[in-house]
Amino acid sequence: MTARRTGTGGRARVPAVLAASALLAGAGALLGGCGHSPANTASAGGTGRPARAQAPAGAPEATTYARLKGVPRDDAPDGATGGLVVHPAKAVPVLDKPGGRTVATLPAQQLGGPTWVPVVQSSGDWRRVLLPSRPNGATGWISGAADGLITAHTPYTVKVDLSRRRLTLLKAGKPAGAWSVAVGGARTPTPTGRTFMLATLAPATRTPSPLVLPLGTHSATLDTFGGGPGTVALHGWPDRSVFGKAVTHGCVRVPQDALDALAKVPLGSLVFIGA
Amino acid sequence: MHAFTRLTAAGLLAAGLTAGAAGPALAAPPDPAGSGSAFGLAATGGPLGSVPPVPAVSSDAGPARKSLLKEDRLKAVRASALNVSAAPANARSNVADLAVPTAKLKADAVTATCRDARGGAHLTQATVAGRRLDASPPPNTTIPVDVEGVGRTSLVLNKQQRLPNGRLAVTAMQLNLPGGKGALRVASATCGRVPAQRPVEAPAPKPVKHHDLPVTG
Repeated sequence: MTARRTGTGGRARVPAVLAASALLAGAGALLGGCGHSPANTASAGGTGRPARAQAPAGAPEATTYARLKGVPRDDAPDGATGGLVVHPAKAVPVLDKPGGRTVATLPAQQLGGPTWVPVVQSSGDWRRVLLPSRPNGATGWISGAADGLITAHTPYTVKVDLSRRRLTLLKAGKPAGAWSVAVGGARTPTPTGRTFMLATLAPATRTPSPLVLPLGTHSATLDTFGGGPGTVALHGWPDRSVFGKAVTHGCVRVPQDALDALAKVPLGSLVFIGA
Repeated sequence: MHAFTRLTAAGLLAAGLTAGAAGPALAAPPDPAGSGSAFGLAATGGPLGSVPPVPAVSSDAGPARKSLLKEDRLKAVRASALNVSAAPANARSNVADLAVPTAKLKADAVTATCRDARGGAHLTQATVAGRRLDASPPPNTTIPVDVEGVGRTSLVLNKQQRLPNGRLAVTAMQLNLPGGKGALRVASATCGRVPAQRPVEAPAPKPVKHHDLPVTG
């Protein structure tokens, strides 16, 4: 079952084997129950806000809701970086190559918090960054000299080993924690590749997880989920029996102590998901 | 002639002391990468006499400047209003009313500038043996000059040297003594690049409260 599908509320159209679990179905509803951020709802079409008028009209905002066209794909999905991350204090154009065509706009905010994206390549003053939009592995070039671009360094990377169902947090390349986690089931696998910590959300409802840490990647088998765009996230789970199993819709469910540690990882930090 | 022999002997001694150090080491006192420095005048040995870099400034943080109304310790060189300034990524030296009679060298003003490891020199009303010198000479312009009591030697304008640590040393005028026996340097500025801003540690995220995104469970 690799065809794209739509999961609504985690119940009706998720794979039967998963929907059979009341907990899982509940998770979809609970994690997905509150809808979108107003600021990002119409992101894919470009909001045309005056403050973000740098990019040509119609350039879509690179958010978790968007599907971008003409963006170069990540060609080094296993590649480590020096930990450089950037935050645009105001929206910046995203180009398909240094000095090339504008294919998107990277807004200053994602999901109510600051946008931080990892730099995966540099060419002169241009920085190639991972984007939080579909298709998975979307990248783009932004000007390193862009007005208001803030640069920082994160020592953290996260590795998710799908076959071992294990998440390892590394600080400066050294393990800072490792946990048995639940990963995507056979029909809704957790997508592999290089992505990043996109946001840290404290949902209104603390169950099943007091924190949800969306990544910059999406389910490859669910175009939407629970009314959302199928964003994959790291989050907690009350039932510890799931850890070590491939049972989720794509998210990575982690124990509470892992969630506590991951919540301190700066946004933009790379997450490597390997088969 | 007797005096010249003595001076030459002194020059040889000075040359021995400064052998291999004709460039960067002389350009300014030792300073770390990511710093700027400047001086107005310096001479090592030979009939022109010796004087350490004056006035000299160096900075690896905020701007620094120094001025000297007149420099007349060297009998062979006169200069007034020597103004130097330096910051890590820029430096400037300006020397006014320069005269080196034995080389028939004169200039109303000699300026060296260095900014973000790029440099330039500017000469105002500069002449050597009555020949007008280019106001903005290309880097390392070398012209032959005859210095009284020394003979044929070279004058390098806008001398630019890349230092091992990536900084640039610009000397607006350098009158070499034959055989590497020292040199007179006028208006020198050395600078590094704007220090690559060492990225700060990325901040720990602050949870966005009551902001829900339906994720894939």
